[in-house]
Amino acid sequence: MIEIDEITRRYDGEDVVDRVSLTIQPRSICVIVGTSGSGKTTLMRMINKLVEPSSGQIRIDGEDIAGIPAYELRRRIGYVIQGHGLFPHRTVGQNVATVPKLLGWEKRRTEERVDELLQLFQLDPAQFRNRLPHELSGGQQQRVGVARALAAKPNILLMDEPFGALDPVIRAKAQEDLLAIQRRFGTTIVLVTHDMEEAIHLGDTIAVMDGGKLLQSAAPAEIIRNPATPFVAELIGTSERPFRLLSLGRVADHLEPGHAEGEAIDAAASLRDAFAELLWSGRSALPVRRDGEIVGQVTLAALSRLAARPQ
Amino acid sequence: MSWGNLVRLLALGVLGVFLAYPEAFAGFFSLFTKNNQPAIYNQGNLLDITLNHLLIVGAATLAATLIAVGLAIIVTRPFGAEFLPVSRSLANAGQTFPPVAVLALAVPVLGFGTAPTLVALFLYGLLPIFENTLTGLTNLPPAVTDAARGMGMTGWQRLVKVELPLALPVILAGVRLSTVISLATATIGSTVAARTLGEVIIAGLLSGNTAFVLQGGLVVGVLAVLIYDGLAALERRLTGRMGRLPS
Repeated sequence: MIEIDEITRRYDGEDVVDRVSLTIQPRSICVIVGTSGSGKTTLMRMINKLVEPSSGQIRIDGEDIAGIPAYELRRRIGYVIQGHGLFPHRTVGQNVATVPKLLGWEKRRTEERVDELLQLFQLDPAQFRNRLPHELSGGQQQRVGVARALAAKPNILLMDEPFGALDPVIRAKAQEDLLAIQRRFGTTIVLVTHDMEEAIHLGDTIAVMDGGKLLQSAAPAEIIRNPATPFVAELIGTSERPFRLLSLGRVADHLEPGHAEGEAIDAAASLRDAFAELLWSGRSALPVRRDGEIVGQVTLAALSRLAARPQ
Repeated sequence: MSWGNLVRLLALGVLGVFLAYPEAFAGFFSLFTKNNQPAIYNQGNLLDITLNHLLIVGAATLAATLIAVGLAIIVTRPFGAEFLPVSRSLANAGQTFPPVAVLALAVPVLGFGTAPTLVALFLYGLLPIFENTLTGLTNLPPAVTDAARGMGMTGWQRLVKVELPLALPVILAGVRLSTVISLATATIGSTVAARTLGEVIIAGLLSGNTAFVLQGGLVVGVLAVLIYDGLAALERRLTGRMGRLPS
C-alpha cells in the first residue's frame, strides 16, 4: 500500500503539487490523469524520490520513505518512462538485467530472469537478447522498457506516460499486456497519463489532478457518473460519457436469456463493443458466445438503460 | 575496400618505407636540392625522430586527456558545479597563450629539451578535450539519464555505466582535435632542442635545403591525416553501435 499524506512540492514559491493525499491499494492500478502542468508527473516522481517533497510524507507498506536511501528505494520500485529510456549502448539483455545486477544477483539467476521476461513479452530471447535497442521497433523497445522495470520483481511499478510514443494499434496491445501482467504478478501500478480513455481502461482507481491539486480519486464508474468538478467532467468528455460507462462493463455480466439472430459476440467483449456492433449491424439484440457456445443474448434496450445517467 | 581507405593504406605504406629506407627516395628529393646539398636528412635517423615526435605528442595528449576529462567530470557533478566557470576560463587561457610563448616561459624553469615542449603541448591539448567532455556529459538524452536514476544507480554508477560510455564519441572527437593540433605544434618544440620532426624542418630552413623542409613537413602531415582519420573511424563505430547518426 502506498499512502501519500498531505504532500507538497514547491518550485520557486509555486506549489506544483499542493497538499495531495492519496492512498493506493496494494495489487491495484491507480491512474493519475491530468493535463500537462497539472503536477501528475511530479506527484509520481516523489514516490521513488526522483523529486523530494517540500512537505508531507509518503509511506510504502507503512514505512516512511524519507528514511530510505534514494537508490535503495528505487531498486525496489519499477520505473517506466515515455520513450522507454533504454541504455543505447547496452544490449536488450544487459538493459533488462540492470537492476538485478545493481542488487548483486547471481549471474545465472539474472540470466534466467532476463530470458523469462523476454519470453513473457513475446521477444524470443535467443533472437533479441544480444540486440541493441536501436535495432528494435518502437513497440519492442517499449516492451523491453517494461521488462527492465519488472526485472527485480518489484511490488510497485511507476509508469510515466508509458504508451505515449506508440501508435494506436500497438498501444492497445501494450495496454492488454500490462493488464495481463498486473493480474499475473499482482503488482501495484501507478500510471500517469493525460488520456482519460487509457485511464478508464486501465485504472482500478483514477486520480484526477489539476493545478497541483487532487480533484477527485475514485473508481472509473464513479468518476464518470459523479464527476467532482466541471473540470473532471470536461476531462471525461460530455459526449463520451455513456460510451465510457459502457466500456467498463463486460457482456458476460449483462446476459439475458433468449435467442437472437446473426453473428455472435464474445462474452468477454466490453459493452461498448457490443453496443457498437448492435448499431452497426442494425439489430436490436446480439447472440452471446462463450467457449464456442451460444449462452444468451445482449439487447440494445438493456444497453441503453445501462448507458443512461444514473438517477 | 573504399577508395579512401585504399589511399590511406597506400600513404601508410609509403610513409613506412620512407622512414625505414629513406635513401630509396633520394632520387625524388634531390629534385628539390641545389649545389649538391644532401637530399635526405643526414643529422639523425628519421625513424627515431618520428617515433620520438609521436611519443611526445602521445604523452602530452594522454596527460591532457586525463586532466581535462577529470576536470569536466568534477565540474558536472553537483558538488563541483560552482567551479565550472573557473575551469572553463582556465582552459581557455591555456589555449590563448601562443605555444612559442609557453616554450619561452618554460625554458628558464625547465631548461632546454623535451620538458618545455611537453608542457606547451599539454596546455594546448586541454581545451578541446575539456570542452568536448563537457558537451558530451551535459547533452545526454534526458530519458536515458532519468531512467538510470530511476533504476537506482548511484552517482558513480551512472557516471561509469551510462554517462561516460554515452559521451565517449564526443570525448574522442576532442582527443582527435587535440592530437592533431599537438602533432603540428610539436615541431616548434625543436626550437628549444626537443627531438621532434621540427628539427628536420629547421635544419632545412637554416641551410636553405627545401628537401629537408619537405621531408619533415610531409611526415608530420601524413601522420596527422592518418591519425585523424583513424580516430574519426573509431568514433563512427561507437556512434553507429548506439544507433545515433554520426555527426
